[in-house]
Amino acid sequence: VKALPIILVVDDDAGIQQTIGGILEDEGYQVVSAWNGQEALQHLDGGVQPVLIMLDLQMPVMDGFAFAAALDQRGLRARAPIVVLTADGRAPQKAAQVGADGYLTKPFTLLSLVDLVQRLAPASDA
Amino acid sequence: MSIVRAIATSSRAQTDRTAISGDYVNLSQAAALLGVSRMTVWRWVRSGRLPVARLGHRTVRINRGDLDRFLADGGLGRSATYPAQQHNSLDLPVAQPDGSMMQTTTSTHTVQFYESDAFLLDAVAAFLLAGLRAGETDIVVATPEHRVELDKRLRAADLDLTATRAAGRYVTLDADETLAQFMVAGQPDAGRFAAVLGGVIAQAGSEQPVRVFGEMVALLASAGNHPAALRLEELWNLQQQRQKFALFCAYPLRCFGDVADAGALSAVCAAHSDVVPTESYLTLATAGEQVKAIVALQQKAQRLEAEIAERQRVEQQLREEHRLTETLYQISAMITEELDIATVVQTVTDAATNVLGAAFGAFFYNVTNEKGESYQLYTLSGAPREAFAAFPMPRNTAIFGPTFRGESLVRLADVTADPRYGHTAPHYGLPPGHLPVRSYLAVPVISRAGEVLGGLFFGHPEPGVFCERAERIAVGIASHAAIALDKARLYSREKEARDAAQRALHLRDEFLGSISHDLRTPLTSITGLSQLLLRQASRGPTTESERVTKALQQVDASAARMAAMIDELLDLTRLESGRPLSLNRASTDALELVRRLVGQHQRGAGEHRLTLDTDLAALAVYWDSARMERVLSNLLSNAVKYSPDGGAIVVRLSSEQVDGQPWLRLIVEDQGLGIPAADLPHVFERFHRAGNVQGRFKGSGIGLAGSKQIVEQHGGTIAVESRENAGTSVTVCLPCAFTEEDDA
Repeated sequence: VKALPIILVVDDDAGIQQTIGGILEDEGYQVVSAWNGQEALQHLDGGVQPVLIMLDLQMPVMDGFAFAAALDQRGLRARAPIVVLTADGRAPQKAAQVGADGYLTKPFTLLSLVDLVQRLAPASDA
Repeated sequence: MSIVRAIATSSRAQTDRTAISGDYVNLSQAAALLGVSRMTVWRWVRSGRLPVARLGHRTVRINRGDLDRFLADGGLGRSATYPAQQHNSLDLPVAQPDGSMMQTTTSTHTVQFYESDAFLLDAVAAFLLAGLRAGETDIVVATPEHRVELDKRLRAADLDLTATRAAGRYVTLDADETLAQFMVAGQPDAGRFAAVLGGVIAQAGSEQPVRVFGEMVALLASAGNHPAALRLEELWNLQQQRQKFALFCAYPLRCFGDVADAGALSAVCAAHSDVVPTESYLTLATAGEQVKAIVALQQKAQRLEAEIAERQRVEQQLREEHRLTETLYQISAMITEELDIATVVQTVTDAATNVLGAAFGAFFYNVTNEKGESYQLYTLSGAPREAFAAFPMPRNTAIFGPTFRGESLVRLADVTADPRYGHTAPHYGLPPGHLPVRSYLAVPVISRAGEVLGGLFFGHPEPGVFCERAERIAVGIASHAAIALDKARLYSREKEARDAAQRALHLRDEFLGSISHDLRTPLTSITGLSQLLLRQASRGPTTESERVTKALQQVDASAARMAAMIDELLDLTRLESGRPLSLNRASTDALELVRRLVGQHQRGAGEHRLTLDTDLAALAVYWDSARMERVLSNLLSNAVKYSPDGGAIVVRLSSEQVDGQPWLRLIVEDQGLGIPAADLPHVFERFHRAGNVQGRFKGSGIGLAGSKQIVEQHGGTIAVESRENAGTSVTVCLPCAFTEEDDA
């Protein structure tokens, strides 16, 4: 059996984790959730190989900016594209600041999430 | 030395000649005595013909004895024609109205002063008539009116004027036209004058003596051009050295009506061989009357001089007052436009120190900061700041007190001699090393509302520097300073208010951004999960009821969260408008609520260890659970959020008796970032966020403000203790039971 492609969801909100997790699992992905950047790094260190990282920016312990910087520092950036999740009006600027490949502004629709994920990490390719 | 000896010698020899100025006369007086121009005297002096005594660098005096010897030796260039009475010219010439005084002269140069035209015309007519009767030729250079009048008078004397004129013995010229022929740039030109007048005189005097009446000098003098008139007199004198003719000039005395014209008058007199006073003197018949007139004139002169001196004194005073007003106006203009307090006080101090002639000045002024604490600042003028840096601020001593209390002005000619001086420990007077002060002037600066804004102090090392006038100036400056300071303070308060409003607007913007962020997150869950469920349902009946239930639970929870947020917002608007919350009190177990919330927050806290420390088994309270939940939630999420490095978060719950009533004490402690001391007083202000978290952590800045509102409405208190980088502890005390007045 072919393993499902993994998407790493990093967000300190349980509702967001459940929502994105439910939609993406329905799309045929395996979802790994992390409460903050530090936990996400631990997943990566523990061997999780995501095809895409969904990243909230403002989180306790280690925020999205610090997480992106840590990825760069460890040379892990090329492993997976990053989609920034933000409720901020300046989403494009913030995405650029992190060097993300895409962004979603909360509240987003199921279709826009699926669309973006399919474009950046097609489930069938993995 | 030689001058002193000369004065001593001559004063012995010439005791009777003191009518002008003792034994010495100046050049103008010599010229008057000799009947020549001042220039002529000066030429004789320079050529050594007339000995002089020099008194100082510029002052030249001629000894009366030398003058007499000069006259006796015939040193006068034209002594042959010099009239006999000139030798004794201190005696005033007594002219006869018929002009006979001039009859024997051929080259005299007479000046007649007059008050009325009629008198002048009579005198001139007599002069002219005497000449014509003696077979001489008359030349008249006069105004048209005077020429007409002279014609009339001559005809009235039975003279056949037409025949005389036809014979060329009565020549009339217009004064203005003649003047115009030789005036160049406001001055008579020597060459042109000689050509014009010399020609006329030569033609008229080829066979007989010539008399000239000229009033061109009078025209010039009347126009105020005294230098030109004098120069013209000189040219006439020069002309008389070339040609023989008797010259009659006349000046209306009003030409010399001004004090400043005294010099011009004496110069005019000096330029003439004969000086004839006005009719008011000449018409006196006897010598006795004339002497009385002289005495009266002397008294009048004395009185005028006294009047002039008084007027000059008053004028001087007015000028000083004007200068003072001007200075005060300038200071006022400078400072009323200025809105910066420091600039106002510096400008005032500099200007006042300067105007008062103080060695140095200081302005001590009271300032109130935004916390309402008042203190005193000072600015200096005339002394460097270091000169005062070593001394404490002046205190309420006997000398300073009246100024700082705004009671009165203090002006002392010598502060060290004042009985109030030197009674205050530790220095008993000026502290050692202080700038020396003898003269002292201090004036309080008091606002229109009567508030003492400060005091202006001036000092000088010499005693008696500040006069009564300085006192008035200082009071004037102080009142200007008070107005300017009032205005500047008003402006600065207004600016503070404006800045505060600006800050509030900024905070409000941040708050709106933050609240919209907070609302968007649960909305995302509601939208996303609903769409997922719809999509799954559209594929046909699903058996995964567990997943559906979980999703719907999350939708429900997110909606509840949004509802709670909206409640919080509504509470906030009530807080803002000053309206109390309407609490929904119900009996609740506080311990159960705290435990549940600690558990919830532990789930999302990652690295943090949340512990509940309590000896209680249950704690019955009567409060608005939803709102108290919001308070606790706030405290816990703050503790987690602002402890980015994790660490222990301890929640202590205990109960105690206060005035026989059960109270709850809840403490939330973290080991996080802490709150900077500067922000600590503001933590309960809406939208305020501490400097060390703003921009780093999301938040609206309303949590604690809302919490305080809720706790206080429950009759409790909330307090924050914190040290930056050491952690924060929030203590909430609440009555467990409900008493009526709590909700009042």
